[in-house]
Amino acid sequence: MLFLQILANGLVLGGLYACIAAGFSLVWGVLNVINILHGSFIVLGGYLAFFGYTQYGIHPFVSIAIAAPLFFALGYVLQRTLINRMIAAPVLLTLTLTFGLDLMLANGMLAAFTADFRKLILDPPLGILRLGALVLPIDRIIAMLLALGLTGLLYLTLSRSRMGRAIVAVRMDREAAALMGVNVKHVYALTFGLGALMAGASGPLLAMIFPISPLTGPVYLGKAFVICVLGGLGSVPGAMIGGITLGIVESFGSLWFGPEHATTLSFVLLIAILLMRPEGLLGRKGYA
Amino acid sequence: MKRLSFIARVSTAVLSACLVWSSPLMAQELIRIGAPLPITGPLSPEAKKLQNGINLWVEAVNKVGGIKVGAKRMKVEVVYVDYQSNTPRAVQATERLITQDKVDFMFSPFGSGAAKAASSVSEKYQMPTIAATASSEQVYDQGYKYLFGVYTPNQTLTEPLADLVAKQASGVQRVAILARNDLFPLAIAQEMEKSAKKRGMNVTYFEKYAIGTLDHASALSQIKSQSPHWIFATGYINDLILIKKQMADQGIEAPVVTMIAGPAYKEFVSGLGKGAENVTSAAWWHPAVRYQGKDVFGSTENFNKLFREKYGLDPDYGEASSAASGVVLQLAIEAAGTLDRQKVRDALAAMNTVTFFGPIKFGPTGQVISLDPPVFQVQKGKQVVILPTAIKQGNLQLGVK
Amino acid sequence: MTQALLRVQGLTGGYGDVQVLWGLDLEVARGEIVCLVGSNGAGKTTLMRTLSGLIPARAGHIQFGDVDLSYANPERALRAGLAHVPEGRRLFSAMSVRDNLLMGAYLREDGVGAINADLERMYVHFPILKQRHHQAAGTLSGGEQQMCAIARGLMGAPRLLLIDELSLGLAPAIIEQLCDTLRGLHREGLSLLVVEQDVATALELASRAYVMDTGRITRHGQSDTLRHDPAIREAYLGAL
Repeated sequence: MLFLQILANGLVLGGLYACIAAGFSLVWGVLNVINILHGSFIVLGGYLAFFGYTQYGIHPFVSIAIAAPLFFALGYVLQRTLINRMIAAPVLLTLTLTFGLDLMLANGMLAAFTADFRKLILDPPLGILRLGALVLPIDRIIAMLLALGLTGLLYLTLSRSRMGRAIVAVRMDREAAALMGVNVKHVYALTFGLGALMAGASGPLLAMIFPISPLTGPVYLGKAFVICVLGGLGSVPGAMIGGITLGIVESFGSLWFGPEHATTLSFVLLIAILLMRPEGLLGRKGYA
Repeated sequence: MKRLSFIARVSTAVLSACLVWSSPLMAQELIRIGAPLPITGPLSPEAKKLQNGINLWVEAVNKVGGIKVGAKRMKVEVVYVDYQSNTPRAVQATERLITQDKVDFMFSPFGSGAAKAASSVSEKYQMPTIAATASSEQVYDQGYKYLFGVYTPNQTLTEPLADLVAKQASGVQRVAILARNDLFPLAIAQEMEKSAKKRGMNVTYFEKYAIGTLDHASALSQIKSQSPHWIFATGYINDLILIKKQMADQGIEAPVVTMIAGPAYKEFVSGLGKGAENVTSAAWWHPAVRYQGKDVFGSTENFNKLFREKYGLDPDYGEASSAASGVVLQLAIEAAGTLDRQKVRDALAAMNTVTFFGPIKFGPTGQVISLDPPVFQVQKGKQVVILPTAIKQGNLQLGVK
Repeated sequence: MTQALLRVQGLTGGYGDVQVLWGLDLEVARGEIVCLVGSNGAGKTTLMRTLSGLIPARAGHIQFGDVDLSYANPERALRAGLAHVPEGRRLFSAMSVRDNLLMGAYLREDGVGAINADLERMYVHFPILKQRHHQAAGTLSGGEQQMCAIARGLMGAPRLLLIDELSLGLAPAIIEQLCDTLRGLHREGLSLLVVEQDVATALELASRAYVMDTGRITRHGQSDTLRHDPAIREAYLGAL
């Protein structure tokens, strides 16, 4: 029974992780940009939900719908004006750019909101769900379902819509896509906007479960990174597999090696995958 | 939560810069004490309390004209530095306060871990340093002469607690311990393990969680599967609120749940609501104690009264111990009759007196050995003292949801 | 006299500091199949890429119908009705055949119905594509990929289709099939400019041909004429 509970814990967490990583993976896979801002976008989305709830009574689920277009616009403009100038540059240079931007954002949040941990506590609380011997907090389940839903929407957008096809085409062969009349600059900005949207929209979800602080940004970024390596870059199914794998590894790792080693274990796994199967579990082959 | 506007922050910074810059002109008349604190970051709630206590003491002492140094009185100024809850930065802040700001005396940063780390710097410069919130014996085991702490060692908390549980909750056999992997929380968890085993209890689970852990689900699932009678969790207030909430998420119940160090704070109760009910804890002080002191506050009741007037709430042990560190320093300076660091240090070592905080006598390692820490429980949203018997306000209630 | 659909005059261009095209003149009339032959390195691919706007021209003029495409980008060229099937096919390999075809229709604004109708038309011209329409394009055989690439180009509903390297790496039977299909499309009104490595196939398919060498047009004329020209036969056809 303990095994089942630990597995359930891991799966629930894994769904959330998949959502965190999906946008990051998309931007990395399509634009070859490692977006260090991703973690801070998540935290900013969390603050949006927190202040929305505590000052205006806006439920975090509603905040997701507010955050999504805001972050999309932010990402689009950022890419079009700044990051696009470095799009042909080596990966490390764009990483430096997003790193610098992230420093600005994180310190801005630190100055505006302080490093104090904010906890979004729903009133009335959602309670827990009991399935036989399994105990599952309802807020986590709903957050996981919404996270999976968001990730699913991203997948559908990429595989069924005209713009989604264009994004995937650009990722596969930029020049051939240009030949089809695709405005590559616009597509890059669109992709970055989608990545920012996914980050900002997962903020409210995470805010319901974990405390919010500018200091937690790097934690989410680190997980997104590990998940991309685990699952393979630039594919939503890859982020799903990677996210769920990480959730389960952390959960069981905590059981077998002690909670203080859970994070260490995920990075050991990262190194192992890099050595044995660097393209990740699904590799670059899985598209969108 | 109030957000300080950018302009307000900049003006504050400029103003403080002016104050610091202008103070050399007043150097002759001011005693300056350095206080590195985690003003921002996960430990900021604790820093707020220390500031409350220290500021109350500064106000009280400056009101009577300052500390008596020989024939004259000198007012006190505290120089705060934010180390953002990051221990290496606390060490840097300590070094900076001593060498650049040239303070006369030092308060330790918050907690056993940071206090121990910073104490090496204080010792290097032979700077008398008072630790308001460092209780683990490991902090004082380096043979340093300049560090003094007003918290008694960890076992003075765990022993009475284990005793009480063994006597009043005789069915308690299985104990589960979850400790933050940090100096004090781990040390007190280890003390609790010893105290429990000494009374024939069976510690079935003992694990550490990394600093900054946000998700305890796995550890808690494991604990739940063992159905322990007594769950003991250590950490700082943000950790413990998170753990208790996630315990409720998993439907974990036990006859006794003890958490150190957090339930003494109002934030614990306000953060958890009904979830805090019947959680037990121990601390180094409680406003219910009664002492007549030779310090600037005069008595515990007077301290409580002044605190209530200034802040509108009752003080807890973090606020009292930081005020006590000021009081102790003041008494030492007045006994030495000078600001000479060696002489003040000796006065601290020789101290044997009573304050609003309790009787103060430091042992050979610099840690206080004279206090009698209270054990308490959250009952109906209030902290109720259940030990020592002399000041107890209620009895141990079993059953935590 | 048939109107010129594409008229290129004095086209000059290349990559960065390297000049590849040295003042080319070329024409494709409405309803013609024209081919371009020449040895490797002659600049044929560079010419195609300049025409479709992937590379900017340095000097000269490209007139397509009543649109000046001299310094246009691929989007403008496509909107004007000029599509380019690139060398090496450049399919989106992990995408399905169907999605590749839909990408060809990316710029079209005439609605899902018209696009789907064209999709069906492609399946009629290239039945194997219908069979494989959910398969990843990279898993198709060489000939099938070429068909997919041509179909993708056609999905843009162009008036003129540029095909760079029609037969490279394909078996003669497949080449024959492709040429038949192209002739059928031509009968339906499509104009073609085909770059072809194999001169015999080129002269068989097209009515007119240009010969290119080191960035210049060295010979041009009717296919029949060129087929019997001794210089061409020597250089490109060997013993016929």
